Amino acid sequence: MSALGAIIIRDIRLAWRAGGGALQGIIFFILIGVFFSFAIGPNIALIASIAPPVIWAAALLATQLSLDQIWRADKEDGSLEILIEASDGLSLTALTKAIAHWLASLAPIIVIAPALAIMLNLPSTKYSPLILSLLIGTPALSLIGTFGAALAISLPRAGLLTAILTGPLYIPILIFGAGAIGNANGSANLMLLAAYSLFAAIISPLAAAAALRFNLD
Amino acid sequence: MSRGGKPVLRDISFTLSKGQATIVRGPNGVGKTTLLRAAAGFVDCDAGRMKAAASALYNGRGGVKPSLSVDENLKFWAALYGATSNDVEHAKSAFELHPVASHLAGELSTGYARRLGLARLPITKRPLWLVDEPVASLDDHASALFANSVAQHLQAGGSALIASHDPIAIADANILTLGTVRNESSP
Repeated sequence: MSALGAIIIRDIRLAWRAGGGALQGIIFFILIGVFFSFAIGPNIALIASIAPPVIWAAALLATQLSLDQIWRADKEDGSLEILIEASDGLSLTALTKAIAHWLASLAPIIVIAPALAIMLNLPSTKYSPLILSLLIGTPALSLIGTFGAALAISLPRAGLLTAILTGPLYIPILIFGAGAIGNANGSANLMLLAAYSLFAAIISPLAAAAALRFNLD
Repeated sequence: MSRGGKPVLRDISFTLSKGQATIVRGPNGVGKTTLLRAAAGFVDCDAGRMKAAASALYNGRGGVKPSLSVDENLKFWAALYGATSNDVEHAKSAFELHPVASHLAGELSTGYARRLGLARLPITKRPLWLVDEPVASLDDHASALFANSVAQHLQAGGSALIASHDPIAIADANILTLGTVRNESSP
């Protein structure tokens, strides 16, 4: 097995075992949808119209919950130095960690999203735009999150700091993602979302590697 | 060399050749760990330079994942460093980990967890081992297992730089004693 494949498999295992936190993220995602549907009450038309932004905001908040785990556990038990020591390029390792985070924490959210869509009365014609926008947009959440978590790695309990750091960078994803489901310019929003994800795929691993090196001393 | 912006080590010069081990001694805070981390490339020298072969650093915590089993930890390292399953078996017997192979690392005693962390060193197949406090919390038997493992590594042409307060039974090891703490202002 290749080294990068081994990192992905290990991270998914760790995320799903006790204390890994992947399950909490998914439950939190569902919980936000439940809160909104109870808070709005029986106004079915209103719920349907706010379903896209609620689902996207829920995905974003659930992601932020799991970001701190990307590097912190490895830093605390000494694995981070092993990963750096064994890596052929730190940005490649960072990209691998982002892929692992996406597979462990965000892929399950995409699978569960239709259930949230039913609960929020999203019209059935909007289901495929919803899944498509999540598939295209959520990789950017993991990529940018990997960078944000690397920036805050040397501070203890920096979960909230990571959320604050990544928040502004997540706003375009929220706008284009919800826009891709909600309004008439869906495909334009999808393309902008794809552009943002690709941009994050190039920049974030480099930035995360730089942040890790800076925090190593 | 500095740590956290404060100067730690000054005027150090030593050579470590193939098949040789050096044990670094000195009081707390003198910079043993910093020296090892510099050799691993994690700390830059402020002046001068340090040339080291491809290294494997054991940082005292070992990088053991408590929610993975002993086997899963070892196999992950093997994949990371491109080692074979033979190397894993070899490391397992060198540190007598077979009886606990299927246990979660988090359920191991402190001594066994440390053995598991040390078992990574032969798996890395790197020529230079940098080992920080390997035998703390190891019993005499486990400490001897570690010394054997180092001896095998040296015989195969490797070298080792070991920081330790405890005596380690490695034949012909050089001793590098670091002086007193120079930076009185450090906490």
